[in-house]
Amino acid sequence: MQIKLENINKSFRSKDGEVKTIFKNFSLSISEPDFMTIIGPNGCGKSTLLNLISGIEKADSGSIELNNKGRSLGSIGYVWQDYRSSLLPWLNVYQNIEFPLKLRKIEKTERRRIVDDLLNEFRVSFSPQKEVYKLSGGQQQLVCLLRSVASNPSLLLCDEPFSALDQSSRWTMAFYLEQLWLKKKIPILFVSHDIDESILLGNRIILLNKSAQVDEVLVNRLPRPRNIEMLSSPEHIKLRQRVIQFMKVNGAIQDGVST
Amino acid sequence: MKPSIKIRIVDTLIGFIGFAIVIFIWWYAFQNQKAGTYLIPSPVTTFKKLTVLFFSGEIFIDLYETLYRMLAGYFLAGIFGISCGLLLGSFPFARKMFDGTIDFFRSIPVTALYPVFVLIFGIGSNSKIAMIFWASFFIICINTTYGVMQTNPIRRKMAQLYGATWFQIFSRVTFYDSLPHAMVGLRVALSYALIVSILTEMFMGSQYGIGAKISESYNLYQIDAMFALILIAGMLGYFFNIIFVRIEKKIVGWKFNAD
Repeated sequence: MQIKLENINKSFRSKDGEVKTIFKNFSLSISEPDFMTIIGPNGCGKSTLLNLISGIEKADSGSIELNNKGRSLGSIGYVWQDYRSSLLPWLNVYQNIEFPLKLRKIEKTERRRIVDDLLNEFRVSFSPQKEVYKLSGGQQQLVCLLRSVASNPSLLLCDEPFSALDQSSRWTMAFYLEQLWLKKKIPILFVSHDIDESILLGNRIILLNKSAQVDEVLVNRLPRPRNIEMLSSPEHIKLRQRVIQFMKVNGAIQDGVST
Repeated sequence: MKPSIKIRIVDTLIGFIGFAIVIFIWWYAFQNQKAGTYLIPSPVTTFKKLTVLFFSGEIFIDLYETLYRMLAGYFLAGIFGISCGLLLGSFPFARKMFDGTIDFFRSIPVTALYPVFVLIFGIGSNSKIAMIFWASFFIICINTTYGVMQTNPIRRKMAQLYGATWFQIFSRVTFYDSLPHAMVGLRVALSYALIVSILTEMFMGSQYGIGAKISESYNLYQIDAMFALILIAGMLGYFFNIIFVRIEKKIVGWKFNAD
């Protein structure tokens, strides 16, 4: 698996006509099927990066390649922070998960097999016939996760997927995501504001500075599967200190105040 | 969660108190009207007349005529209004082109167009149906347009990301997402359709219909019959609303819980 971004330029025009440049000649190459997390200060372009890779947004110039080819629609899974908006509330759990498969006109029996396998593999405790809006936040995000991998994507992008969840659902879902990565071996690019979550989940932690350039790539060698106790491990604490230092330099943390 | 039967019975009884107060005020006005005048019939006489109208069966032909015209105009407006709304909402160019036109035509009171419709469709049912159509169409069309314009962008992006074609996004996401707004339009238009149906029978002349019979009893100074017929018109609107709310909950029930 290879993601290759070369000389990407991207700017936005605000309502008052002001042009804000997010990426200027940005390049990034990822060649391993890894669990990568991205940390950076607000407005450094983390979400824009995911949107560019997915094709939701177009770069002003530059090239993006996935497995030495251009991106094809349906080859990337995406999990949004706003799970309520990304689910289709008029469909039930089962229908939401099979939605990408239906779009690709996969046969009914095959769709059923894929969705049933996913539901069994991840021991989904709620009924697949249940309306999605009747589920808890964590359960709804789980449906989004399962939907994002139903079509067997070659890359999974997660844009702060757990930040709208309460603390306990957040960690449950984080470890669900790890399980999913371990079982499916789909490369993951994960953006989060939460330093602990990013370090604990990632194998490699990309530090994106306020000028939208890769500052450093940290490697987390903690064994898999990971657990909450690892938050107090020396390796985690060491990485945490490095990330905090990076955030301070980039103005994201000022004397105990996170911005 | 559904309220218990006991709570529902109590709620219904509380609802009846409102009706009881209105009937009391009516009875008080009847008792205290100027001697020798008969402007307001007693509630008892009116209800007696109401039962006579129903049990003799003479009201059914009028009910049929009113409902036939109302529903014909309303359903035509629903089909065309939703179709036009979906198109205008989906194509900004079409919206820009017809925005002013729609605003202009919907501002013309439907009653002002009565001679035009009579000239085109004659004095029979067709001109009345056309007026009901006109009164309902714009409300449904405008609400559906707004519904399409306000569909959730994340849902559309999600479908696009999973490889949906324009038509798949339109038919599987935009259409359903715009339904709650379209239903609001349909609900308001239903009341308008009944109002215009009765109004046209009263002023454009008709042998049968609730409006025609109200007008006839007024001319013959049959005040109790006139009040009984007004009550029937009120009941029609009331029951249509109850039925519509049930249908709305069935079709877009998710809207009350999701988002």
